[in-house]
Amino acid sequence: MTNDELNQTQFMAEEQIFADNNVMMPDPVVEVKEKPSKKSKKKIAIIVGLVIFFLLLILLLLLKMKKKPIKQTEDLVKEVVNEELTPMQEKIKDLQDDLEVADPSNQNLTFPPVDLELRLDKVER
Amino acid sequence: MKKITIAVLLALVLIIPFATIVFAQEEVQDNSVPEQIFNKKRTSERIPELKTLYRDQVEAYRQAYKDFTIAKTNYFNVQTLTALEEAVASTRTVMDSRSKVMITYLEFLVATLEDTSGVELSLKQESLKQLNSMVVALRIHREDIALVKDRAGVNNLADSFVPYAQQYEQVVYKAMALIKIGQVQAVYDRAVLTKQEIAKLQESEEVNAVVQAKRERAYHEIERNFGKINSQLNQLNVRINQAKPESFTQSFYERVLEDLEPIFIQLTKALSYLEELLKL
Repeated sequence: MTNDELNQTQFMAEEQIFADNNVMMPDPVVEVKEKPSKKSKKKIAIIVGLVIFFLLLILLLLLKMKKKPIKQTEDLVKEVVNEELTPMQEKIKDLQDDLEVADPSNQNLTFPPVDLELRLDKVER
Repeated sequence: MKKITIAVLLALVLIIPFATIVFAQEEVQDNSVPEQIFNKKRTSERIPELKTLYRDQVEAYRQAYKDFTIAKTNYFNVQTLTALEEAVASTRTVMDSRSKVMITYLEFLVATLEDTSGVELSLKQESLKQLNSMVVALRIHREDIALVKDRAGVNNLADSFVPYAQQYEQVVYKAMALIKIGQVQAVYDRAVLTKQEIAKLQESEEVNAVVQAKRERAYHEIERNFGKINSQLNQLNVRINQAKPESFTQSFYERVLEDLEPIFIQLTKALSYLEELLKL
């Protein structure tokens, strides 16, 4: 560029703004939704299935516990006792129970608490 | 969505068999309950009924006795004819209430004595006879109470009751002593049989010399224990057999209980020995 070509009196500000029409504008961002793959769909289905399964399981157990909790415990205790004792051990257990009833210090037989001498007037002597 | 529906269906398919298993177990448990009841030892059905009746009658007697005491005190304080009427009526009520208590107690003793297997048969029959005739005597006494209307009548009834009261004490304390001895005797007799059954069971088992020696020592100890119990029970039975009717008093019964105490301890020990023997 020669000095003649260069107009030094013209200020930069006077220069046409955006004179260049070929300014590169950024492309607008378009969100492209990715379609879920077949694998992830399967995963979700399994998780949902398992959650429902466990929920139903818990619900069922809660219902059963609410129904007969005491009876079940009693039955379990009886079963455990029955499983543990052999017929001979059971016989000895029965004997021990009967002996408990026969305990001389056991006050299951007491004379009736009645006044055998009650009367309206004193005995005349 | 389709996948989720399939998952739900799958979950239901998995849950249903589990649920049926739970219900099936419940059915099994329900079936086992009657079996347990039928396996329980036989007891006289009358005893609990009589116990309840006796308790109620004692309660009624206490109330009647309270009313009688108040009416009697009131009569001696105010000395009016109305107060006398009330005192006579309350005396009749309390006498009747007392008879009911005494009769029910006799019936309770009859049921208990019948249910006790360890009592010598002749003694049992004799005692049952005495108890039943006492019941009849008290029923007649109740009929007399219903007929009495005045002061002299209730006083005469009180006089005529004195021999009944003495006889009642003798009959009751004798039955009580027989029941207590019989209960211990019954356990002893069954313990002897159980020991024999264990011996039979262990005869067929093959064990080493050490265990065999342990078993022999256990049998010897149990035998020694049984010997002691047997001789002490025999002594007690002899005493009951030789006792005169008038000697069956409260102190006699208390002495029987004292004598039963060491027998009870020996028998408790013998049963735990049998329990140990089973584990050898």
